[in-house]
Order: sequence, then structure tokens, then C-alpha cells
Amino acid sequence: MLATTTAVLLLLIALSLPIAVVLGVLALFLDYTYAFLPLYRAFGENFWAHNTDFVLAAIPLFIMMGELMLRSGIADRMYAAMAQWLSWLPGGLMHANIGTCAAFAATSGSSVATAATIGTVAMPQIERRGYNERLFLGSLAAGGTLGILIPPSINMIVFGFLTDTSVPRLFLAGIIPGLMLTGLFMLVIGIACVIQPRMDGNREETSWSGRWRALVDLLPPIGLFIIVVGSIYAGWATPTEAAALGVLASVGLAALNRRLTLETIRQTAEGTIRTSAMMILILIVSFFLNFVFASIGLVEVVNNFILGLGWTPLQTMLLIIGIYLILGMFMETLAMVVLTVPIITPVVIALGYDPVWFGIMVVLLSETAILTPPIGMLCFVIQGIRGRGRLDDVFIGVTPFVVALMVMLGLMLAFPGISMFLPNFFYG
Amino acid sequence: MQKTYDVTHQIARWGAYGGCAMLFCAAVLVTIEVFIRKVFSMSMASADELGGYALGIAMAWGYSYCLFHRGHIRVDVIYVRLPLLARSILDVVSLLGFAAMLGMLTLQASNVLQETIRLSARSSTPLGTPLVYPQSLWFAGLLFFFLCICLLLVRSAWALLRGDLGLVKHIAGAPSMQEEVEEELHDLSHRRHQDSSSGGSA
Repeated sequence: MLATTTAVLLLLIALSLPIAVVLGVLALFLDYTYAFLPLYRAFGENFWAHNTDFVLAAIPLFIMMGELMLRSGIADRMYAAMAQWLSWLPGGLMHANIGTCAAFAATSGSSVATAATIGTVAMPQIERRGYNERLFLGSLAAGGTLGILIPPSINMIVFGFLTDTSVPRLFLAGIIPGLMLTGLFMLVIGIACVIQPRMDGNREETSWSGRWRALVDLLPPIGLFIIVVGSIYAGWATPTEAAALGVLASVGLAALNRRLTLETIRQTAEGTIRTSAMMILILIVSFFLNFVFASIGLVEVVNNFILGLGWTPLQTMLLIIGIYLILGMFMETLAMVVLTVPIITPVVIALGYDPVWFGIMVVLLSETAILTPPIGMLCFVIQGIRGRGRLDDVFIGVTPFVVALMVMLGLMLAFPGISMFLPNFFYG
Repeated sequence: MQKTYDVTHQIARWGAYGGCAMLFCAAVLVTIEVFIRKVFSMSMASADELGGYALGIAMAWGYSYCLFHRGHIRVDVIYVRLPLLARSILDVVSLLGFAAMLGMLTLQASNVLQETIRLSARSSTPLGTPLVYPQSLWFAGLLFFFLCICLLLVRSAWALLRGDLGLVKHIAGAPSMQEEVEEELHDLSHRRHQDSSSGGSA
């Protein structure tokens, strides 16, 4: 059963069918071949039930919030404010790159759009202030990944749905690793510029009065974070309800900045529907596939197979991480997560790991996947904005940050408490 | 053919606008619900049910909009390494796969709807919504999606037979990394343009 399933899956992937179709056709094939009862008759009922599942509404609502934030015109002032606060460090504005990306991506939800937006604002500074171009570009690409680790994170919602893991717990579990990774990225920049001062650029004028004045421009992302994440932990709202609050708050913000034009609304609507329809279709079909998996006992087969190898949990986990690193080089992250997580998570739980912890690991691995060649999407976007030179410069520049990600993965493996402390503290 | 394509595309676009409007209304409703629950400690308890219907209908109509924009992502590890002709064939095959799956789904969904009509089913919530209303709109969206797939399938298959590989790519090709980056940058320059034209706020 395991060999056949894998073979069919690989064939469907080789045909480069849409992910939703890969999952759907695989489900119907397994149903036809292995199931006692015709499960496809439940497809319609199953689809209706999940398509109208209010919990899933968090995804389009967070996407809508992000699209609005992207168009609310706050990026430039946020960057200037971060520069006031962070650019005295060795590495100067590169810290502002990381900081602005982290804050902006946390609210916009899209790594690609974040890196593009902040990249455009920051890139003219490379020549003006004489920074090392590669490291500067690398910091922009790396910064873009931070948003999917810092809540609210759509990747975590997807993981939560696929594995029936609590989304509020996942959000909490991402906070400390998110801050630590931000710190590690800054450390990379600091170390590079202390060892090799030529990489650093000329200092920007900063002053304490400037810093306090700039603080106002950091309020929108912080406010949105407090509304969305705070309302969940105050017990006022579920993640979906928090997303609804976030949508209204970001509409207010866009209106305040006089960006709520008809054009903005049209673009927001198109962007929201396009991205969320793609994701929701994949998720609903993958629910049906998981239902088929469970009915024919495939999850158990995989579980027994891996546990039967007699490896220690750590060895198995290292193998899983290795597989994700390789898959991430060639596969779109959503596809990678949807195809593997429902099968692998039960194994990971059987090995004695916490699914919340594993969720954060998967997010870290997804971050790595969008940075590593040959298809690191973020590096392509940064190169696209730069519009000259070679793509390799970005890949070289991002390497130290990928190393930092590896260090973070190692720390998570050695000290699971990094992610588990907050959810255990809050929920016991 | 082009006319049918354009009209269908327009319907899909307006379906997307309508769906997004429904989602936004759901967000407003949910926000009101959260406030009422917090401030007056009472609950309407129906915002999430209506929000669920909004999601179902918005997405059912959104699938076809996403299709027209080649947004249903594909794993293209092998695809990108193939010559154009092979890619075009795979483009048509992927629509064929979509048609097969959606054919099955639409059929099963019509059974769900028929059953609802036969039993005059209502939701088992305080609202007791007659399910026929949300379900019909949902089903209509799925059926429209299925028809869109068939239309694109016929059109791309015909283009493939005529050897118009450019058209196949335009209708059904998986966007390359380059195209995706270009689209992102295009969108970005649009936003930047707005930033500079609206002025004053900075």
C-alpha cells in the first residue's frame, strides 16, 4: 500500500498537476483501490462541511488584512523609524532591514510582498551609504521570512488545520523563536561588520528626539499586533474573530492614511480571493485525502514502518529535517507542507515530540525553503527589485542567514522549551 | 470563443468581488459579535454560522477567478525542465485532471443539495437557517468553476492541436518564477505609484 501510494503520488507530481488535483486524484484512487466502502460519496458532504467551516475563515481574513496593510502606505515611515532606533549598531541600516521586515511581515503575512516592499525602500541606501551589497541584499531576503514565524501566521493556521493542533498555542510557541531568530540575524550582521568593517556603511544621523518622534510610525504594526494577538490571549476572540478585528483595524488605518481608494479596494479584493481560493481549495481537498488515509489505515502503515526501523527519536527527527531541507529546495512551501505534514506529524507524535513544537520546526524549515537555491523565491524577488548584477550575489549574501536558521533549528532540537515555554505557561 | 472566454472571465471577476464583499460583511458582523459578547456579556452566536456560509460561497466563486489567473499552484520541479511542447501537453492534462476531479465533486455536491431540498433541511443552530439558500449559492459557484475548467480545457486543447503553444501557455501554463516575480514587482510599482501620488500623508 505504501509503495503504491508513493508511486502514484510521484507520478501525479511528475505530471505537474495542480496541488489540489494531485490530492483529489490520489484520494479517489486510494478510495477505489483500498476502501471497503465507496468513500467518494462523502466527497460532497465533506467538502460542504469544511468549505463552510468558520475556523477556516481565518485564512482569507488574515490575507485581506495583509493586503490592506500592504497598501496602507506605512512602509517608508516604518523603515525610517526603525533606522532611528537600530542603525547605531555595527551593520547600521541592515538592522533596520531586519527589524522593519519582521514588524511589517508580522502584519502583512506575505514574506514575498514584505521583502519586495521593504526592499524597494531600503535598496537605494546601499550606494548612498556604501554598504556591502551582498550582505545588505541577504538581510532583506532573510528579514522577509520572519513574518511567518511571528504571529499571526497563516502557515501556522494551515499546520493547525492539517494536524488538528491548537492555533493559539502555535501562535504563542512562535513568539520566542521569532524574537530569537531576529536576534540571530542581527548578530550575523553585527559579527560580519565587526570582523570586516568595510561591509558597514556610513552612519545615518540619529538623535533621541528623532527616536521619540519616530515612535509614532511604529504604532500601526504594534497596535495591529496587540489587537489581533492580544484579543486571542485575553480570551476575547478566537483566531478567526481576531482576524476579523484585524481586517476592520487595517481598513481604519488605510482610511486614516487616505489610501482607501476604489483602486485599493479592487486590488485588495482580487489579491485576497486569488490567494485564499487557491489555499482553501488545497486545504479542503487535503482534508478529504486525510479522511481517506485514515479510513484505509495508511497513517498506521507509515507509522509502523518508521517506528519499525528501530531508530532513536533524535535520528528519526534528523532524517525528517533532512528530507524537508531537500524538499524545500525544489518545492513550493505550501505544497511541501500539505503533502507531508498530515502523514509525518502522527509519526513525530508517536516518537514523543509535541505537535506544537513540530509546527514551529516546520515553519522554520519553510523559512529556509524560501531562501535556498535553486528556487528560493525571496532571493528572486530581491534580485528582481535590484534589477542589475547577478542572482548569485543574493544567494551568497543570504548564506550567513541560512546558517543562522540552521543554528535556530539546532537550538529548537536541543531546547524544545524555547517554543514550548509560552504555551505551557499560558495553558499549562 | 474569445468572446465566451472574456465574458466568463468577467463573471468570475465579479464573483470574486461579490465573494470578497461577503467576507468583509462577515468580518463586520463578527466584530460586532465580539464587542457585544465582551461589553454586554451576551451572544448572538450566529455570526460564525453566517461567516461560514460567507466563506463557502466566496471560495466556491473564487476558485474560478483563481483559475483564470493561473493561480492554482502546481509542483513544477519537472515541468520547468521540459521543452515547450511537453509543457503545453501537461498544461492541457492538468486541466483534464481538474475537470475530472471537479466533475466528481460537482456531482456529489448536487446530491448534497438535492438531499437538502428533499428534507427541507435547516441548520441545527439557533438561527435554523434553511440550508437551501447558502447551499444553492455554493453549488452554483462550484458548477460555474466546473464549466470554466471545461471551457479552458476545450480552448487550450484546440490551441494545442493547432500548434498555438503561446495561447496554451497564456490560458493554462504554470507561471514561471520569472513571471511571478514580475507580477509581484508590477503590483509593487502600482502601490508605490499610489504612495507618491496621494502624497501629503508622509
